[in-house]
Amino acid sequence: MQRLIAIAVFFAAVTAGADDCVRQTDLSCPAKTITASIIIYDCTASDGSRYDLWQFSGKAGDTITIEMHATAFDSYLVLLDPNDVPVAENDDAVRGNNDARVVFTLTSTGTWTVVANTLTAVNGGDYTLSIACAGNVRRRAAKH
Amino acid sequence: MLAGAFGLRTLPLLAETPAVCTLTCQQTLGPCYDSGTVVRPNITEGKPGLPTLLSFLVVDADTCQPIENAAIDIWHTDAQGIYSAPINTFCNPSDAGARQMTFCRGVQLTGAGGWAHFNTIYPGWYSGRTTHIHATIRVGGNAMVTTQFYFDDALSDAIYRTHPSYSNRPVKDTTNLRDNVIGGSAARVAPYLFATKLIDGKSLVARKVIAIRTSPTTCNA
Repeated sequence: MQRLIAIAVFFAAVTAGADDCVRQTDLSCPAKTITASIIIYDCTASDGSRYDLWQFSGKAGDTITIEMHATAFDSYLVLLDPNDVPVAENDDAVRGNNDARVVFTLTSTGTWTVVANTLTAVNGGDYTLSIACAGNVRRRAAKH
Repeated sequence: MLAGAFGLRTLPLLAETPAVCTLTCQQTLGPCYDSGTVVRPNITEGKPGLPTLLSFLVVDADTCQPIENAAIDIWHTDAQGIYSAPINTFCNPSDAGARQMTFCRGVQLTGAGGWAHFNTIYPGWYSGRTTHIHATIRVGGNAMVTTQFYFDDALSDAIYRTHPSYSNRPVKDTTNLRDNVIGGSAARVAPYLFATKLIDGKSLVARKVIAIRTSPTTCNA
C-alpha cells in the first residue's frame, strides 16, 4: 500500500511538477495582499511539497518584503530573479513560527517570481501572501 | 527541465531548526583550497549550470543557538568538475582559463539568525569523488571546522542526466557510499547531506545546518 501511495505521489509530481507551472500575476508593487490555497493539483517540488508561483514586476534597487502566513502548514518562500535564479529563501519570519518572510533588495528590473511553498510535503490549506515594495531610499531622497 | 527525473527514493527534506545539534566534524581540506577567497554572495562568475541557492545555518553544538558573524568559506567545482584558481594542477588539469578565475569560491558571514547564503551553480563531479562542496567555518578568524557536504545521489544523477550544462559527461563514477572521504555507510553520510528542493525543474535550494563549538574540539567524520 505504501508503495502504491509513493508511486501515486511520484506521478503527481511528474505531472504537476512539469515545466512551466502556471505563474500567476496577481502580486504587484507597491503593496498587495492575496489569499490563496495550496491544493493537491498545485506544482510539486522534488521533496513532494506543493507550491504556487506568483509573479510581480520589480525595479532594481527596490527593497521588497514578502510575507506568507498559514495556519494549516509551515510556510516556505523562495524568491526567483527574472532568470529563475533563486536568490532568497526563508521558512521562519520569527524563529520557530509557521510564517515565512523574505526581505530582499532587487538586483535587476524585470519580472520576479515568488514561490509560495509548504516547508514539507503536507496536504496544504489556505494562506495569505503579501508584498510591500520600497523604492531606493537614496534615490528618493535625492528628488527632494 | 528535471521534472520526472527522480526515482522513488526519499530525498533529505528541509526541516525546522533542530532541537538537538550534532557537532559537524572534520573532513580533509583536500588539495584544491585557495586562500585568496573573497567575501561575496554570488560565486558563479558567469559559469553555466543549474542555479542553486546554498543556505547554511551555523549553530552552537551545545545550545543550538545561532552563531552570528561566523565566516563560511566554500569551494567546489564548476559543472564540468573543474576547480578554479592557480592551485594544484590536479584540480584543473589542462584548463588554463580556470586557473585565471575564482569561480565557485566565496565567503559569507552569518547574520543575527545564524544564516548565510550563496548564489552558485550545482557542482559537477570528477573521477573518484562523489558530488561535494568544501567548507571551512571560522569564528573570530579561527578555523572551527573544515568539512565537506554532499547531495543525494538521486538528485545528482537526475541533474547530470538531463541538464545541458552537465549531460555531455559520462555517468558519475562514485556514489556517496563509495566515496573515499565520506563513504562506507549511509549513516556516516547522512549528517553531511544537504536538504534540497528543486522548484519548477529549474531552480534548486539547498540547506545545511552546521553545528560547531567555539572551544577547541576535534572530531572526525
